Amino acid sequence: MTAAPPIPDPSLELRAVAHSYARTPALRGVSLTLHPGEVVAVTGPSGCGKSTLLHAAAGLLTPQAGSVTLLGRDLARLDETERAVLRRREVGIVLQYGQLVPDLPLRDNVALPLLLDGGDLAAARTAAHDALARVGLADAAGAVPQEVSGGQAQRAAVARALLTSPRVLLADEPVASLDATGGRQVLDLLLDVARRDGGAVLLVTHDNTAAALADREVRLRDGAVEHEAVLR
Amino acid sequence: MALLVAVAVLTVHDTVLSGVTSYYRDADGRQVVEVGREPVGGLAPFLAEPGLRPGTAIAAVLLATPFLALAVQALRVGGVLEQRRERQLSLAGAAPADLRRLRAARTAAAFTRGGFWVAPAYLVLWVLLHPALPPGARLLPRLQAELLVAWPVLVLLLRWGGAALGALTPGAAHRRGPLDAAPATSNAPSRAHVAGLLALGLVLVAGGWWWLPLGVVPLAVGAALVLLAVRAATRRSVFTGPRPRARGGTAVALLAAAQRRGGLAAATGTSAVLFVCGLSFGYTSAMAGSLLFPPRGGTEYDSERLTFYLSGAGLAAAVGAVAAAVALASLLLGLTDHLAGTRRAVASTAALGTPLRTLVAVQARCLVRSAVPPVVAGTLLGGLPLGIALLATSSPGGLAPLLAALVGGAAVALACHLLARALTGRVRAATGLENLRVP
Repeated sequence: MTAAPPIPDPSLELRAVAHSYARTPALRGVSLTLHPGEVVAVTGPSGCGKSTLLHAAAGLLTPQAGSVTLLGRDLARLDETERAVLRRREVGIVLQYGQLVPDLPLRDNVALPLLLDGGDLAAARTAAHDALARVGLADAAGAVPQEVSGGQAQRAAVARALLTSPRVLLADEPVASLDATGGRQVLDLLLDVARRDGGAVLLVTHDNTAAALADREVRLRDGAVEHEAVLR
Repeated sequence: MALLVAVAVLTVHDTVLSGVTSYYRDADGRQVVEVGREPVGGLAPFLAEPGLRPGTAIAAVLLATPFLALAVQALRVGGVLEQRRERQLSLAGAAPADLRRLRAARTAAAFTRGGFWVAPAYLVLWVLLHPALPPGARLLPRLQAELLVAWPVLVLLLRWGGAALGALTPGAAHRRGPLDAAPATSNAPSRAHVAGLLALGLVLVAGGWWWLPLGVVPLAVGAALVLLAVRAATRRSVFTGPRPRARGGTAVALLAAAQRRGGLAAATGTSAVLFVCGLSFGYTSAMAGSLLFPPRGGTEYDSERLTFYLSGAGLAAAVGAVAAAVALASLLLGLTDHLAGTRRAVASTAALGTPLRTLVAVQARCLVRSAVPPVVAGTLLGGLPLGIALLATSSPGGLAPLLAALVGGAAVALACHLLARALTGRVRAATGLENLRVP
């Protein structure tokens, strides 16, 4: 008789997380677990708390109740700088748009996480160039964000998020501002993190096509989990 | 206000005779008759002596320059939001001329309000610089009827000037068309900027030429401004080249260079003002050096005359320091506006894992790289010609411009770091999560 393979520790675990803006509740006791190699889509209508959940998962927001454990570390016990360091070393974040630094060439935008860690400029630029090549933007490495299309800027943002081979990838409406083809390209890059590299991906989206590509779907409504389904 | 001060200075009448006459014999035994002169109304010699009066008036006008730069910078505040509003108006059918008229009306009203406040503000300044000072040291003449005429004229001029500035300054907003979703960042000095620099430079050159040899400084400043305008017209920042480069290869250096590229037009104008301040520091420091350590064979002044000239140099340096402080305030205003305009990108950079102190360091580096080089370069350029001449005569006074450049550069750098610290709250606000949702 062979022993069952051990269940890996979750990459991300939210327990009974609650948060309000002024008197408006955004999250009401949401629990969610994300394992390595897994893609979880968080869906729901506008204002249901999807982005707040992602912000809490990234340590950008400290929830008023509940706990968030990211890669085995309780975020409430980390100070602001420790959370920032954890994000840039272990976590990739992709937002809807407008996340690149204006007037900074794509190559340097992508190299930022390594440079913020004190990395050598030449080495960081080489790594950034490779990451841009991976998303098909090697030729646009010297362009600034204002000079490229929305889709190209979004792919550059994905390249930046993938630069440090993150163990957790958090994406907030990453394809909302893209057309179908551009959106599919970006989604494939994000899914590769889980399928190829064994990372965990939390995908916040209101796009049903994007959500259908996930392993599991968690639907929120009015700040609470309305429905959870295993898709594959 | 500086213009009103200049008018007041120019209305001072010639020095009157005191009526006290002294007779004595000089070293060669010749009879000397000296007619005593008494400054009008206990004025300081800078105003009382007819030969020095134009220089004082020019200094007052020069002091207006950084305030003008500050006004232009203030017009840019909220530029991103304003551009967005203009695009919406364009989509609703507003023609470029309509938008220009709207902008002109808004700024004309602001300048008119400012013009009305000039008279009360002048009264306060007059109390500080006339009755509050002892006779012989007063820096403003008694209140004169001419000012009552000058004031409404000034209000009218400010209204027209404000309208022109408003119509021209944010003109870049419409160049890319109303459907452009991205905020139009101005990467080069505007035509209005270049024209303003050129006009001011030419006026100063002409004025300096007229008042030669007293107008050497305005001549130099004017020539410098003309050069700045020519450089700006070639779409290059004078102190940074067409695209500011990051030196050092750190994240802070890269982010600061990018931020300076985004606000190049404003930084170029302010750098020009700081360069002029540097020229003033350099020239006055060299002059002070020559007075304290006169060259061999040169004039040695008695203590009274020395005090007079040194206090004049001190006054000029103080005017330069005020102008530099205003220019730094202008840079700070520009950074604040830039932070507000790019808050989504700032918030995203913070989300990426950039600590707040790194983002504050970026602001400090931006300020230092925009402010210190022009001050140091101006000081050296303004002081070294005289300084080198002094050193050639073995006078240590020739080192004064170098010392001034060192001290001035360090002081400006320190001020930049303190200002960046003061911006911490704004930076923190720009990193707010709510900014990840703004368009």
